[in-house]
Amino acid sequence: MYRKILFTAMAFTALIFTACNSETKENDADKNATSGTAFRKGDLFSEDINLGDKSIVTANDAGNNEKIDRSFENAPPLISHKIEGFVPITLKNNMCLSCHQPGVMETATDIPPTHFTKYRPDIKKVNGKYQYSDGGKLVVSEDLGKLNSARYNCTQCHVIQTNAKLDVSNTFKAEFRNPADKTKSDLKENIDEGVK
Amino acid sequence: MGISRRDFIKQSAVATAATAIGLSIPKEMNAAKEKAESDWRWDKSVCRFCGTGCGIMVATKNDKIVAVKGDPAAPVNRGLNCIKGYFNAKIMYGEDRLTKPLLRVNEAGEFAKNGKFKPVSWKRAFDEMEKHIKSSLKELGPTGIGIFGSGQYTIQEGYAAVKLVKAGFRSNNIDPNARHCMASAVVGFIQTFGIDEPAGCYDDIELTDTVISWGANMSEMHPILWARVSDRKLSNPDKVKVVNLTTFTNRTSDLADTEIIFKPHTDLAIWNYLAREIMYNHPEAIDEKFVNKYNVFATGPVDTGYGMRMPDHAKFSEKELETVKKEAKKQISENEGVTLKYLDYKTGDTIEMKSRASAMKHWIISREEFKKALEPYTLDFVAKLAKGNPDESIDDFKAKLKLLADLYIEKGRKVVSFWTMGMNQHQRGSWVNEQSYMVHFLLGKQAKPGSGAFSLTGQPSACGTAREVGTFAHRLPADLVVTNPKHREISEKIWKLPTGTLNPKVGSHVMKIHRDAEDGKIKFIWVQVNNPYQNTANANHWIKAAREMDNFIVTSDPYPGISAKVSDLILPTAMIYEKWGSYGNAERRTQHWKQQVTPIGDAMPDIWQMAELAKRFKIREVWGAQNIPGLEGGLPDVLSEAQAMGYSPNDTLYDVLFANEEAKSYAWPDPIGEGFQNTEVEGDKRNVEGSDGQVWKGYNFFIHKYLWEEYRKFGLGHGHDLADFDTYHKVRGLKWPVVDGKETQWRFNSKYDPYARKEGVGSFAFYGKALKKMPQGSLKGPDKEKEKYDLTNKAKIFFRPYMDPVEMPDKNYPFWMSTGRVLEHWHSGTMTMRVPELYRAVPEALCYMNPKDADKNGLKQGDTVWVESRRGKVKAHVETRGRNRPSKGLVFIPWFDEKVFVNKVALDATCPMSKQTDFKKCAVKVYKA
Repeated sequence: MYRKILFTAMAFTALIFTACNSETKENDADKNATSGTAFRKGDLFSEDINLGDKSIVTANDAGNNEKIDRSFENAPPLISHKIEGFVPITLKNNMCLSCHQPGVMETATDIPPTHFTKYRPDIKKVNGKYQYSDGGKLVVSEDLGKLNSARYNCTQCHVIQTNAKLDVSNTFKAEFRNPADKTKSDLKENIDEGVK
Repeated sequence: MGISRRDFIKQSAVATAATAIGLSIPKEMNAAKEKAESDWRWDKSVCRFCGTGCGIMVATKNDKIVAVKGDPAAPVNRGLNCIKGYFNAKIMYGEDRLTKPLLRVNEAGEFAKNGKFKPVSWKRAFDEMEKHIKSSLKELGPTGIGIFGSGQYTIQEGYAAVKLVKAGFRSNNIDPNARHCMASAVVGFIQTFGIDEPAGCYDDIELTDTVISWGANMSEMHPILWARVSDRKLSNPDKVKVVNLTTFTNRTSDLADTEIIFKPHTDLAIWNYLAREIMYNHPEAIDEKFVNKYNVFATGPVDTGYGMRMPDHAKFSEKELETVKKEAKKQISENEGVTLKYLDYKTGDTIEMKSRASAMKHWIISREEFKKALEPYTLDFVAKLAKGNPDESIDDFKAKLKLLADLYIEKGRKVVSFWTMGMNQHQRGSWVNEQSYMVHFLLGKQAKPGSGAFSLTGQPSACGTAREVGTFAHRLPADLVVTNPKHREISEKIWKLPTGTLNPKVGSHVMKIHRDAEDGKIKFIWVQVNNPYQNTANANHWIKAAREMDNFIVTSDPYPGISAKVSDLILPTAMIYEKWGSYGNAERRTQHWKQQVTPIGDAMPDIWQMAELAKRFKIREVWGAQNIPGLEGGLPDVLSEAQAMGYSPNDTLYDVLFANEEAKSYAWPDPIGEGFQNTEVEGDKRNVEGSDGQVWKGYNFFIHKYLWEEYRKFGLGHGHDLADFDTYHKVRGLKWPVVDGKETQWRFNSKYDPYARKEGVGSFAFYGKALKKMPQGSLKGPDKEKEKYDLTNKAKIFFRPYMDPVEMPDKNYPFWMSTGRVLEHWHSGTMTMRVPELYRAVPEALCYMNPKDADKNGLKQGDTVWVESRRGKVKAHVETRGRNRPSKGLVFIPWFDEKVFVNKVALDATCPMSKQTDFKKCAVKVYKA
């Protein structure tokens, strides 16, 4: 049994992983389970695969770019322009702020009010022990009058989009309860909606 | 929001400096809560991804997730998530979710190893699993099966898995992917403290003056912790200092005051430089009171190998053997001639790896011996050894090391050292973890608010499940271990098992399960909540073993990833928000969530899969006498005692382990679940055809609550106290130990930790119980004449030397290669690659390399190259301008991309103590494809 499997294995695994590259729509899930993987075609034993060209960012330069609707209500907006030269964000230099600061650049999406708000209560020594001074409130919100520096690393929430062709689509459906939410944040007003 | 741009410009001066500090903000004019009346349901939950453990709010409508926001009430993240965290909203909706069990069959519809996947019923799926487990048990005994578990199991899933495998099948062959992630940290904790998991908590970030990151690209891997670090740094930029110790420039360097690029593996030497600086040049910095009262010094053997198999194994290629031969013996290098001189080794000597099986052994030494061992680690020696950027001057590098020492040593300066995979995925990972405590202990900067060596976890429940539940080959819940008869007795009592049911022989860890499969010693494997055929180094061996050996591999997965593809049976599995669950994060915070939506297709939760499988085994089939290789006498027949306890031989493992009287006492409906569904407990609207061919209608008792309440019995009163199930549904998590309803911020610190207070030995008590009576000796070895040293309530300061890694660049393979993650993708990418926004952001794993190296090799940005090691090769595109910016001589390739199967290239050498693989260093060549 063992020997037989050993001998036939190479042949059939090649078969399994290359077999079903067709467009037949029996059942997407099952189709993908019998043909390579969703992201790579062919045999898992060989890495001699065609990677094509490296994906690149084809968006226009900042200022001449078309904005991308938010993925869902109050999702962080995707970066819709080239950022080469703007990154890395360093201790001394954050180029994002120079255009996205509210009121500076007409064509740039303003940094929303949440980013100028502190939601983390201070930690203080009370009776010799450190504890949070949240005053028993579930959601603490304090206008800072300046950017909350926890939000300084713009690219940890906002990402560019390359020209990569999707291998697998996604059936998530966003709902925008207010049509304006497609392009702007109203999170500050609704931060505690549903929070209990 | 109610402010127009014009109003705003009128109100505020336009700042132009691109600095966060001066940036001004529009005042909130009218905060309308227009959305309060919508038909969305918001509920608190937890992020699916990293060990940070952020709270999220999930909005659902019509049984689908429609939005996610950061939970503003969650202490970890206070309303902020990283890009992956927000896109939890979409991870369950990839179009190729698996909807039916899939079995490899021949044309007659029979299982065939070389068959094609065809949809089968759940009943058929369990028939096949039952058949193959039974035949493996019959042929090989309990060691013939293996479970690849996970640090992404919910706590209850992990607990159910351990119970089923260890109590039911009496096998210890269950080990999580956390072995690849946290095992070295665990060994570091157990050896040093005698108890697992960090002393500190994330509040350290707001309280510290100094953040030192060692082999942790926190900016991408723990983005929200990094946001907190950034906030701390930018709020007090002059006082707060951030240092990034790394083998290549990354985003964490971008926000650091100082970046130290070191050669892979030389962190061992840098820690010793720091300790030497303290002991020799700054004795005034030693916290004598702390050290004298709470510490002892220790060391262990060095001839421990590299966690590989011995070179005589038949399945190594000639090329592989060039590295593997060192597992048996190797030549002492020039640097080791210096660092191992204390053991009388000289450059050119041969060191035989005689302590491979006893790498954990250690003994107490004197402070003088400890100091003596540090002698070689001078600034000159360490700088020369460790400098990782060939383009940096030695003087600049020395200045940085000196600065690093100054920061640690400065009296009154609070210091937190964070690390993750750089120190854990390391051929001496346990050592380097221990070294971090060495430095912090000497300075008395440990277990104090704002100061401590702080091991960060990679996975969302590596702590909560893998470690606390103990889904490891050697562990039981709450730090108990299978080798300790008392621990087995405690477990047997809680689990209501006959004496002797539990197997005392440590099972196979992750690497060994793969290796056993290759050797035909394991013939049934179940993959749960992870992707071991993509995530394990030297992958060519393991995918061949899966496909070419006579075995049966089952993968539970929501998506068809690589592990699913190499399996024989794929089980469509419910995802995080499709079930009730809980995770435990890196600051000991346990967080629970409720099922938000119905699973997709016929997908079912892991707990259900395990409980249904348990129905297929009667105790008379598994609790008779069992042969265990290497265990004299094997496992006893415990059936007569079982009968005396009231069990019938025909009771199933389901009856005994999961649906006993106590379990059934947890009624459903339960007020805590009001308004929420529970697929396991009551079935759901899909009417899935279950494991018996009948419509699934549920267990009719609250199995998640039962598993929780039983599990927490292990830790109550033993320093691992968890709160009751209901409490967690009312709070944003609690940091254990939870005593009298209160969480613990800083463990071992009597002011904060009731367990430390209870010991009554002063401001601190390192009360962990493991390894607290140790032999005494000298640097060269233990002295059998001396009696064992009792170090109750003390922690150890280990001396560990620098040694070379087993494979280093040479003429034929001139580059170091490191693997790792990127911000946008989680692990093997099965979830995040199916979120279009994340996919398009980072659609492929790139080969990050230095532009000068590219030039020299005739390569340019975007070229396709082969990256080849002694084990395998992959293609990737060259990136010379990316976020990761290696110095000359190193390439970095992340592992999330199925197309760039970089684990075929990586080396499966491990820390000999922790058995955790070193994914951060091997030697490769890079050439144009």
